[in-house]
Amino acid sequence: MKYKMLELIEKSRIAFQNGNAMQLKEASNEATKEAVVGNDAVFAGIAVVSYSLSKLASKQHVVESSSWGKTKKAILDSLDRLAVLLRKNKMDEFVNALNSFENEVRQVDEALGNYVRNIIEKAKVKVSSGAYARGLSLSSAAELTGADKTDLQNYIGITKIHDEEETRIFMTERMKKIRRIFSGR
Amino acid sequence: MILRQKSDDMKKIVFDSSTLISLSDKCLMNVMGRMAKGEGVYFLIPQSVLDETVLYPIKIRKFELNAVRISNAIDRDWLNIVKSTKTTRQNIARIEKLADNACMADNKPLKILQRGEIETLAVAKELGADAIAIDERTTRMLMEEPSALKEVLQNRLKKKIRMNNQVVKEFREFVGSIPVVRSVELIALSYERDYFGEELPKNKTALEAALFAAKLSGCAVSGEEIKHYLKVVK
Repeated sequence: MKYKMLELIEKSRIAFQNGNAMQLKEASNEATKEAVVGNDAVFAGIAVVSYSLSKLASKQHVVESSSWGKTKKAILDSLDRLAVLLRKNKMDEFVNALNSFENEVRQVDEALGNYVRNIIEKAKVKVSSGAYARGLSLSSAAELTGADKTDLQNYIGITKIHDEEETRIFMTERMKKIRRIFSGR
Repeated sequence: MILRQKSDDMKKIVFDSSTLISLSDKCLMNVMGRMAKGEGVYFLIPQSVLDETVLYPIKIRKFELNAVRISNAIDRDWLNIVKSTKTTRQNIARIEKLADNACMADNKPLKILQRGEIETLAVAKELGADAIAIDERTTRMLMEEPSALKEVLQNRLKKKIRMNNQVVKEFREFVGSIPVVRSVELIALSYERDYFGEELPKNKTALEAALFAAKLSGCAVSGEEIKHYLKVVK
């Protein structure tokens, strides 16, 4: 498990260094899958971080800002620190550092971003929607990252998740049941 | 806060937070209230749903209005809170254990359901509810079509999923064959029985708009299903 985490952190580091948002999203997807299979909040945390970095790396106003060079270096240093902790098998410290890293990204977002709702909260919703799409219930998916359930449900509503799955019991069938229930006083 | 004592022969529908979120988000709570009172049906929520839809979001600006709408429904006495009992807790423990062992990936059990959904099922079983209102799809699939849930997990995780058929059977037997409805069915019924009131005009355009609004709020329904239903609506 630790090796998979290390692989994902290293993959994210390289992708971030190269400004490759696609690869960061891929790392986030892989981490989400691991989080679902293992019901593992740490993998979910990695998924959130990778996804939020992909958003930072893809925003022109962020990467073109005068402070980006310094910010980018600080983020790369933090990713290196995360990798070192994993190599040394210091899981508790890794988890704390991952949480601090989320705050670091939040600060960058506050300083350089344009929106009130921060990038980490959006990333949590995005990662949780991926967990829901993979089959977890709404509450399980929300709990994995700590995403807000209403935000998550609204986000899922604007995706195609529910259109892509095969319907076996149609609304017309369910209407027959509900009519019976409401008629049977 | 009522219940238990009121459990006479009136019909009971236990709501999961997902359905309340869809309905309150689209300002359809008054429509539901009229329908509950007009049809003489108890709409019920367990404590965890109250926590998720009122007590927690009321502290957050972004969600406060939804929480106020739901709280208002409770104050108006058409949405009732069910207090947990020893039986509820026992049912929760049993359902949780079964749900946690229903599906395996890489020889590890998948935690597919969570406390909120499980408590809704536990309360519905305890009260002998006539239906469960739930907008998210995983709980519904585990109850109604576990093989379809296995397919979703398998296709999306790209992993071999082992479904423990014995556990799933026990889960379904324990929960019972309680019909599942979603916000879209409740909205459609309120249209059919003329409970739109002053919120919405009674015409197909309003119905279509309300159904798609619920879908866009996260109700697990496909556009195809809604269109299929609208074809048969007068």
